[in-house]
Amino acid sequence: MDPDRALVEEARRGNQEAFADLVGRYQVRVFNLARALTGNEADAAELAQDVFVKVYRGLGTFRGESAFRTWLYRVATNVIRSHIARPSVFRWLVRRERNDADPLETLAAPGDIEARVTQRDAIDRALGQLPTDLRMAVTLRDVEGLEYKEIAEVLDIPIGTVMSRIARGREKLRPLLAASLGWT
Amino acid sequence: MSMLTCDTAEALVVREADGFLVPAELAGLEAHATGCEACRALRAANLAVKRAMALRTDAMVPSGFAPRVLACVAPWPSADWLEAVDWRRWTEWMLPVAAALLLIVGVAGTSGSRSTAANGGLSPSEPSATVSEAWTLSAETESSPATSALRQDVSSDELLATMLGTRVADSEGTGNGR
Ligand SMILES: [Zn+2]
Repeated sequence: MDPDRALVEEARRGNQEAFADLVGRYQVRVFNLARALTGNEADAAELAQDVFVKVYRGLGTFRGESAFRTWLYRVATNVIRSHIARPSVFRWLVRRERNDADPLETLAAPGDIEARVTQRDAIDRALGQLPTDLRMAVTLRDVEGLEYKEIAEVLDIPIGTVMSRIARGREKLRPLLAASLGWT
Repeated sequence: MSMLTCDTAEALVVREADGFLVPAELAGLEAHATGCEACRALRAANLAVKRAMALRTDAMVPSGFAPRVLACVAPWPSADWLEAVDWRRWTEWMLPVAAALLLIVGVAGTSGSRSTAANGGLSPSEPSATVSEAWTLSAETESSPATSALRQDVSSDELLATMLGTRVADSEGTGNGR
């Protein structure tokens, strides 16, 4: 039973409050998925917004064959994948136009928070060096905590491929994380 | 002794790092890894990366994120006063007024053309007389032809929906949500 079903039904009938509840429920997840996959706060915010707008417009076509959350992740990974596939020069230009500072250089958080932000940046930077398919699989598992079966549904690949991508992704990630986190 | 293939071991490596292996599976994986250099490396990497990824805490969503999303999908510019108004009561109250205005337009039109024909011009008192007539009419006869026609053809819900640019089901859904 999909825990979001009632809200989705309401939102589908145009109830803005129900949709607001869905956004409230999933904004941290979608934003962090985008943050981990792009390594950039401002890109992540824009992509996450894009995801929710697409979800809202697509509610009419959502038939409930999968859980809402699974469908949401599918929309999100598609939106983020297209962004990643764009030439990086284009992304750089968009970023310059938006004039956002590099979040890695503007950290001014004290103590514990600073350590966490630094770790997150280091991890996302390492993830960013993985091939997209491996990055997606590892992020959905290790950042988002999705079950293998749900990852298979989200990425529309067999479960064996999911296991293989996670295993290989983690293997490739190890030296990248070591460099990024300053492991000895 | 190892019956596992590297493919099978690969899935076990992932599930081991995620903490899902039962003892029998673990024993099988260990036996395979002892004799397989590649799977040994894969296993060490998966365990290490899993531990490191646990250090990642969620980034905070930028402030104002949800309102920005909702502004993008709002059928109407988001405004709190819209929600404060009791639209159902308001439209019911407005129906006779709207009917009265229709009557004014109608009566003023016919009497205007009549007096134009008779006197060669409008006398200044006529329009205000017409307005008070129309007001009296709508106040005294609650179901004047104009209002009852409106009531038959357009329910207040539909009128409301038209005014808000939403479907009837939408407004009902919003009502249930509160
Ligand atoms: Zn092997």
